[in-house]
Amino acid sequence: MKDIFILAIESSCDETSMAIVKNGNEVIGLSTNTQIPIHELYGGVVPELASRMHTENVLYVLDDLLKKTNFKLENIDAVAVTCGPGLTGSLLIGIEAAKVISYLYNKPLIAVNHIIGHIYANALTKKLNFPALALIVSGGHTNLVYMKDNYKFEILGGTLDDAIGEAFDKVARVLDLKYPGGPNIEKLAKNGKTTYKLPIPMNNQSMDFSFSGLKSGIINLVHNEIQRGNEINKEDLACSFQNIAVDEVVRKLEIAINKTKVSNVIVAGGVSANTYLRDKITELTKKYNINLGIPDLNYCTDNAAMIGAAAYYLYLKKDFSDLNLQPQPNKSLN
Amino acid sequence: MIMMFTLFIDTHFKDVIISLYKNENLLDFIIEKNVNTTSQVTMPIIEKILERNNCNKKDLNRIVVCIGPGSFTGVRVGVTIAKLLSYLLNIPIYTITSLELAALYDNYNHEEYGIIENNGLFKAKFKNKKIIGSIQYEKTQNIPENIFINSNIVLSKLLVNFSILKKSSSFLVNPLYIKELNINKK
Repeated sequence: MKDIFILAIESSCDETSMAIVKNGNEVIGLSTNTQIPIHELYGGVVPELASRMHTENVLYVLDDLLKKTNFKLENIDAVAVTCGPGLTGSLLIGIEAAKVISYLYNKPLIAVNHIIGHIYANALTKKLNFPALALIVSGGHTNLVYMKDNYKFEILGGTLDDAIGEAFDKVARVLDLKYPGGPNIEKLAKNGKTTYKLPIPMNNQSMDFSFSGLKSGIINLVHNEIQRGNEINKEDLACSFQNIAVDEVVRKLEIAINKTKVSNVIVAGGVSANTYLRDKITELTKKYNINLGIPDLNYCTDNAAMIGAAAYYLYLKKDFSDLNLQPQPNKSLN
Repeated sequence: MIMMFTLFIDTHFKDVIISLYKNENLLDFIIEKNVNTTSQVTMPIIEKILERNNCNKKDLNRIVVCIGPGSFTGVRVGVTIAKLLSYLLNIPIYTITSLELAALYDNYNHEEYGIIENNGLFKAKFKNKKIIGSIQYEKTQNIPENIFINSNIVLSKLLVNFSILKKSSSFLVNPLYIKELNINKK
């Protein structure tokens, strides 16, 4: 069969990223401009600022990708772009860029769901096997999804309030850590112990998640200690929080493994870069003799390569979009 | 004689305006009024106007784009499309501000032109269709008497007075926001 090359674009939040991906599993080239140093100054992503920066950066990223891969756009088979979920103003820039490329070179336009992109980031590391259980842990999502086959999603559980990455970011703020909170909490936690007693979330057998109680518990604890004039051991608190939050995710994953009896688990989303989570899930899947897929660290956070991987299956199904494609900020999995 | 095809993109406000020129003469235009989703309509209009004039996209020689100020999202859509077209077709890109357009389309030479925006207006002083000083934003519900708001669109005038257009590089063309972002550093 002929090799399929897809140019992929991702701009759903604060990364302008473009990639050329071969057959949904091999990255020919990836160029990413991250705005983290800018948003860090404001303690989180400022949507209007992100939109402005995508507009400024879009050509530099494309130019960098084409120069370093020496790839001619005439030779791509399709152009794929994240259409949501994400920030409308940010998504817009990637979408318009993709439309112009699709139009000028007469190539099909493929709209990709950002979350499905995170799942398919795994295909860049090793072949996906089904049926599989996908655990999605990111700044916007915490989901357990049963996948019977490619692009067949059955949501088993999701968060009732905050996503796990969101909880990391909010706790990081309370601890006066810089944005992005997740990696900074992880750094602190490395030198900490689980000395703080914090509320255990949703101690039940459902496959849903809740992190707001844990987050509030930490906010209250910090306020209380300040009132009493006590010092907070940030390293210990970060460690206590991270362990409880991650252990909860792992506990729910185990419930799902027992219910679905799958022999494949894949992890997706920015929080899958967390070392404690990676270790805990590796331990759990070993115990059940399950084949674990976890993306390489550089494909855990937002990137266009995962969008190119996810777009491959839509290309095979000829699931194409028109030039009137619009951002879908609240797009769901199905 | 070599034919020059120029595509003009103006999405700085609620109307999406696309026009096509052969040399400096207006060949065709499409104006879609009161568009809420600029992203949905702009590329299809560009496709339509080139197609119905049998203008091959590879035959375009020049892009002109309005860089605002105006609607943030609207301008971003037009500017992003213009940047990509100019870069990928390797053709020059020219910019014009929304206020210069207002002055250009006017049959008279007023001293100050304004563009109305949700909570105020963008304004600039002019002499012979050229901005003197800088564009400013004023938060107001009343339009001062001395400021002229021009609602006419006369696309045929765009390329006649070529010196108003500013030649740029596709990498450097960006929307003109004027309004400062209202955020505080931590």
